[in-house]
Amino acid sequence: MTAMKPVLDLIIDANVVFLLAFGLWWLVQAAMARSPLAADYTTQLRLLRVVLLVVLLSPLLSFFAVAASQFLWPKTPITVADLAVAAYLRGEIAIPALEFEALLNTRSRVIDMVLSGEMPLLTALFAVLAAGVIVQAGLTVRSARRVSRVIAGSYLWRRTPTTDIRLSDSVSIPFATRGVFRRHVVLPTSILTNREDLRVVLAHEFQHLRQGDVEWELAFELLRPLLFWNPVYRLWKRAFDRLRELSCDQAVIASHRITPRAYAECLLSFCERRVTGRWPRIMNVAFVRSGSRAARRALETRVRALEHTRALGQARRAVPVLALVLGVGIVLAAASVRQPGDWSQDRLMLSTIVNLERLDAINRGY
Amino acid sequence: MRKKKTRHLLTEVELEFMNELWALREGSVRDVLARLPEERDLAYTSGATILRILEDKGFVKSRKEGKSLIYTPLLGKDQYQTRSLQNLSRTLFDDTPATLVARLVDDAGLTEADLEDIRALVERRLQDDSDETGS
Repeated sequence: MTAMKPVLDLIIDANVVFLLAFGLWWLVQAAMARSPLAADYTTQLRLLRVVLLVVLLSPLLSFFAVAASQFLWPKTPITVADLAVAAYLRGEIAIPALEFEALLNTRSRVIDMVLSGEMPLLTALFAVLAAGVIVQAGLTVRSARRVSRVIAGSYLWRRTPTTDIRLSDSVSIPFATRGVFRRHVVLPTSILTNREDLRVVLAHEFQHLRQGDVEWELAFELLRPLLFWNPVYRLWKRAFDRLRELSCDQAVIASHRITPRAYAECLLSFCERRVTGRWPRIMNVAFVRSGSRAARRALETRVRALEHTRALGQARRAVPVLALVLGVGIVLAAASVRQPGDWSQDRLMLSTIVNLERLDAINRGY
Repeated sequence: MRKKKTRHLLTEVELEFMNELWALREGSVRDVLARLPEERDLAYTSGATILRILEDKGFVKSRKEGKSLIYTPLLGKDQYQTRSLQNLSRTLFDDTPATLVARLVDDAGLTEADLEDIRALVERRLQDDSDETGS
């Protein structure tokens, strides 16, 4: 059980950083929506990717941030716990030291209680979450196997050095995915009878491959078992899916001499077709989703967005600055939620006060 | 050699191509494309791909003649009709062919002459069966 503690710590840290990073990104996104970058989905997607990469690397980056801060400003606290201890020692928090220390160690105490089984309710909740992780992992594997079966049963039509273009009878909506070594674009066989649709769909799916969307989709789905219960994970995923499609549509129209009208008609025609059976929504990047209310809304947004053009270069110059601000903000947020590694002077002081309070209590008892 | 994929039923576009091949008995990609309605506007490469898929699925075979491939159906149209009806009976009529026929006979679109033909077919089949049992 002791070996589980660092794992639980890591999962809790990841979820907290996810929440804080989403808040920061949401603020920047809201500001961008009122700027000339509002309809520049490619830029927005790039920014989101930078944010997600920083979030993924945050355990490492925050470690370096804390180490650097201790080296450069040894007496300046950076984690929330150390800031609170410093504030307590300055007399800004007026509660007994014993209570304050208990408050400070709440997280560690709760994890201990979960692992030792002292609180059945918490342990049950932990068991439910652990079962959820297993179920989610199972669903991901099942979807991957289903996609893999479709690829195995498809007909290899064309080959590029990195990508196979395949035709399948068992799908009605084109999608892109990848295996360990090769990428795949799978098209319904019926698309061969419509040259215009074929042109639009190939341009769209290859744009997804160029943007690396398939790899991002797989990364998101591999993280799902650990983060499925966190609503912020779903919000990130929804935002990413939206920007991924809008950016892809915009890039295809800008570079492939396809009119927005022809593109919209192709989207609508595929939306009318339903996938044969239950097609997994994950582990692949489909041309269009259909069937649910959210899918209808997403389609409407995509069709409306086709008339928007990308922002001018001038507005794009602000993006590296925004990325830097967001990156630093997320690393600082991740560093601030870290558990303090060793005993600082302030911590030793607090510990001394706690011990004195305990001695005082014992003396009063006698 | 690559293993052929065994599929029992044709997709819509494959059936369209097979119908033309059944009518031609054999033919090249251009022969089949020439028989499709003009509004199909199918690229040569797309036609060639569909025929290659049919070969892959074992519905046709090909032989080289000059620079082009000549495709020949490996399955008769009547055989495919039987297979298709068996599939329809299994998937939509709970594997009871009588229900399928009943639905067909109930269809208001059938004329009296059609119904007479069906009756004659059924009677002929019953006669054949009783002859086989008697002998």
